[in-house]
Amino acid sequence: MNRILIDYEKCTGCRICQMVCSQRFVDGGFNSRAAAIRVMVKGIFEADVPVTCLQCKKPLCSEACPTGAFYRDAVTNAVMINEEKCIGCGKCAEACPFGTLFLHPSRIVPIKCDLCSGNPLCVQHCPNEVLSLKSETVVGEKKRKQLSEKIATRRVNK
Amino acid sequence: MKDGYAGRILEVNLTTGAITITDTPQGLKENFLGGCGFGAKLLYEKVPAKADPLGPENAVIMATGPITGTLIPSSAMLSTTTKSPLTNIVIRSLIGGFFATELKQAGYDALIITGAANKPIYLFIDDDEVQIKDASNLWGKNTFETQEKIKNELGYEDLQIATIGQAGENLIRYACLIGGARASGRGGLGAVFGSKMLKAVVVHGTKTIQLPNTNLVLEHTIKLSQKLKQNPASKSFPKYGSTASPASYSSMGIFGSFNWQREVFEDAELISGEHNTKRGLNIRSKACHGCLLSSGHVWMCGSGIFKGQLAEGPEYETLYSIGSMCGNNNFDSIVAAEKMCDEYGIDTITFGATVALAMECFEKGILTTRETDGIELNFGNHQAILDLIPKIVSRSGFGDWLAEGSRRLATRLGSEAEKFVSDIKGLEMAGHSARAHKGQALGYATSNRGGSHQDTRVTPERSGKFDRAAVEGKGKLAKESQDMTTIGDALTVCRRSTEALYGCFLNNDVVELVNIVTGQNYSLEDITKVAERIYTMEKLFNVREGLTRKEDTLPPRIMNEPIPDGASKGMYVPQDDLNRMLDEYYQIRGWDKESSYPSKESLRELGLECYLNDLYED
Repeated sequence: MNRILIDYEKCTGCRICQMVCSQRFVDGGFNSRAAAIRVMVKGIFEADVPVTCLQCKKPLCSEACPTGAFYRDAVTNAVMINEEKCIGCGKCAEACPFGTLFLHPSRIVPIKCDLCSGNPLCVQHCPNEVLSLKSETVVGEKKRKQLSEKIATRRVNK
Repeated sequence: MKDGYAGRILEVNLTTGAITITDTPQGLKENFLGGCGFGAKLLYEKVPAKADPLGPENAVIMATGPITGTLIPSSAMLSTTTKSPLTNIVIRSLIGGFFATELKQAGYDALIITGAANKPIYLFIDDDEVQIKDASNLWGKNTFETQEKIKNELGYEDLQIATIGQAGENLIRYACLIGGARASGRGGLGAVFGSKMLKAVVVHGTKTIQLPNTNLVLEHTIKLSQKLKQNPASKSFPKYGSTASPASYSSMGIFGSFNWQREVFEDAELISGEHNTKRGLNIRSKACHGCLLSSGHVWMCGSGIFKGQLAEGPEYETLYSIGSMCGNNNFDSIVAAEKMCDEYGIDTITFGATVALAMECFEKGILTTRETDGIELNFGNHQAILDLIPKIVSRSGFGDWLAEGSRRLATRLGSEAEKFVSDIKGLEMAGHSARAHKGQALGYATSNRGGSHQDTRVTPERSGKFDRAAVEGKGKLAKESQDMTTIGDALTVCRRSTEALYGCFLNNDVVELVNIVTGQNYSLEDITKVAERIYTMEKLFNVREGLTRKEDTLPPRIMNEPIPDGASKGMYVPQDDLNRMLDEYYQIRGWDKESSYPSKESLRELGLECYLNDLYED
């Protein structure tokens, strides 16, 4: 299963991901508030933090849904919303521990990342390699690598 | 209509509290495009001749354009036009960040602010709901505190706010507007806000920016970003932003220093981005909406009492104004000054240039410690620079003299000081040498806003594509550069990436871009006419204020003192050279050579004949 991974250190806050995503949810054009990825700003310029769906294995959004509108895409494994069943109650958005479902005044169905059928536009357009689509098996790889490098360096320096 | 525009204009009269929303006229879109075009046209109509810039008669026009807030690279800018309290003529000032996108998403191409409130207020635009709210608890707060407080008060984390600090409240003539940590810097827009008791404009917009063909915009954006990767700017800007230049400009002898007494600064390397990145002070890149270059940078102050504090900036212009102009090689003090200027809300260029003038006057005995409240105002005294900022903002003692800008300071100090002042029409020159680039000199002299580097660009001459010493052809260069920058500010896109993507002059790539976002079928000739119309409209505002050819001039030092040393030694712009360039420029513009007024024919040709009576009696 693939996931969108985020390298927070590299994000400059340009919101290109947000804009390119939004055009999938609106009728012609761009809308930073109709995107399934959001860049949150901490303070004035301290940090820009992209936030998007992690495609959880036991999605709390799905559990909170009163109409059973959630399902999993057979190919991408993304957590999806059946627009026919959705009543727009917003319980899913409340339930998500990461705040990655977004309600919008002009839509009934919450805006949620569906991995763009496997080739996410946000990943394609990110100018700073902040976003990448990787197999879930590499989650944590960077940290593991850092640890192994640290141990190795310690040994070399002995 | 899916034509790149939000389709509505919001007008708020702060005297009466009246809030009006009207459709954006089709003719305004076609003839003035957006941004500074809307600003030029609406300011002329809203503000009567000779209005007090700090009185209720002045208006503020904040405008977006057809590209603003789209995926097109660097479509972040908001263009604000008002009558400047620093220069008493038109000022067009741009700000990046995310405010422009938000205003357009709230459904407005432009916001017109007229009148004045009688107690502190702020404007809250939440899509269609517009409220004038009490700001008495925000008055006296700096720009960062104000943004935090408003977010808490309104309960939204994700809002865009453009606010003044204490400098705007105290009517410092070069107070600016701050959004995030970016500035709508030049010309005293912050003081105009302050005079209207308007602390901030706050926007929350949820509407879609509609385009005729989004797929075409996606394809075009991919093409542009690939093109940008081939440009050298894509290597330097993400690393250093605009701060990489000081040392190379100094070696070219074009880096104004010591109040333009020289154009070499031996310590340029010490204040450069490269050097201070090595010192570990370059904290992170910070982009505006849609920026592929992430040219903004957060810097840390490395020493002194402000050690460890962060600022977004300095940019190149501030390294010039608070650095080399003041003979100041202490980078950490520039970061600290940047942070203070952003918090209080003052323009770093005019601030630095005004202090630099005071420093030269101090060293030449025109000013003494009696006037400066005991401050030893020698070049290079970075502590004095930091000490002066709060004094200026509170207008206490000598700070009150500096709060008026360099032109008024020189007038106060007398004829000797007036020889050293570096303003054009009251606006201090930016950090691009007039003496070493004849076209830039003409560009400054004919800029509608004064000493701005954003009308005629120095780039074509500095790159060597044009002979910087030549006089011939500079009328054409200045005018055609102004056409390009005018369209950039109308669309609205950031100068940095437009130059890398489209070059410095209007061409069919620019026209293609306009047509993609508007769905129109403009020709290069149409777009050139739009540029000429907007620039002429701003010129008409200045003519109505009484300006003539006499004011299209340069500082005395630029016209009389050759550059004393360095690679551009001996270069200057004698009056005769300026006259020849002006003649060529007016001829190309179709403006009268005696008065500089736009001719009747040129006004008719641009469809501006309705203003004929304002200029000509018969």
